[in-house]
Amino acid sequence: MLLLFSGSYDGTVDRIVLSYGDDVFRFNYDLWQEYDLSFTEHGWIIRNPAGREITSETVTGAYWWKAFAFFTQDDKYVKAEVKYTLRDVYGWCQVRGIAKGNSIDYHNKLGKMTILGLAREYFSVPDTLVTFRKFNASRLEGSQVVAKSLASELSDSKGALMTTQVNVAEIDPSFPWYLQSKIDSAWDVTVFFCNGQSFPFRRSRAGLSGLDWRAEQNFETLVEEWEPMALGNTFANKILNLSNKLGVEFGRYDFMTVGDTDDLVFLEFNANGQWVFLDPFDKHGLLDCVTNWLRSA
Amino acid sequence: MSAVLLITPLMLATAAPTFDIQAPVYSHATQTTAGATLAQYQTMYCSTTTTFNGTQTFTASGKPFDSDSDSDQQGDC
Repeated sequence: MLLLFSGSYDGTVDRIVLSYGDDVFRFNYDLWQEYDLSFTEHGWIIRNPAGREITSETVTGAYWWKAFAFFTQDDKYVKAEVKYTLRDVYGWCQVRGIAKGNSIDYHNKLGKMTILGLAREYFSVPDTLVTFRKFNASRLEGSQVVAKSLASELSDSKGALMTTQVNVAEIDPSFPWYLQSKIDSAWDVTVFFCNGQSFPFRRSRAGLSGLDWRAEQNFETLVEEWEPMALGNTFANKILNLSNKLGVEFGRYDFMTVGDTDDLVFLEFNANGQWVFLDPFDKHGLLDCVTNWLRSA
Repeated sequence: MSAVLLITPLMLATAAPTFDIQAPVYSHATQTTAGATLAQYQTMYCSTTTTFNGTQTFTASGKPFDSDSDSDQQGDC
């Protein structure tokens, strides 16, 4: 039985459950109080209110999908205890080699700059700099530069740093900065990778008022904003080779085209990147690929 | 002479979009949003989007909001 860690209103996991079939147990972090759980040095049992049960004897796979991105009203102490327990159950699966996908803290161990350095072997990458006290920032002065977020954390006032053009001469050296040469581009390109297969999609940048497509999505209507594209076997092999180097079977690679050419510049790898938005109507096989991958040993 | 105001990342940050809708009802029997079917998802995409007052930065349908929005350790941690 597959153990899914998630949250109760995650539509991605709804789809996986519906596609996977009955041999799955979903643990929703935000509903943790509704599950019976027992974990001893010999193993564990979890039971949901409907009587469905999974144990350390019956589990065959475990998949973590953004469980801690969901909200509970518990005391900080309680949250920490619950999270510790869930990490421990997932860790139990990891050490037995049955966890699928990338670890909860993948990017804490392998961050954007290290990945960018590895990606250089296969793809063009933009001039990029992470700097404290603006050390070495002069190398970017005089060129068009964007500021981005490394950790994607919200600020205390719930603000998110979207990709934003900055003048390097005007940035405050008392803050950490993640800076990158601005790429004038006609298309955002993203490649969903799962179980050895690449699924490339592109989204036109025409009409974007800002630099970051994530700020200008259509959340309300039935619009396929991304279209599938062909990138060929050579490109797919590069994705496969980089994935092998990163030790991943799953993730999403972001690129941009250079101007209106077909040349691509690698931007980043998202170890647990969202993917349903690329194929909302299940026309391109992403859900089947993920389901089959989760079923595979 | 007036001091030059330097730019900080906090000054550049903008509010993440929020959506105010009713949370879907979860069914432990089906382990999905109550009544959900694949056919429904395939035809009613984006019928629900929410951040539920948390710091979740993607919608229930999996659309990302912020710079890469795929951190697994956000939310209320």
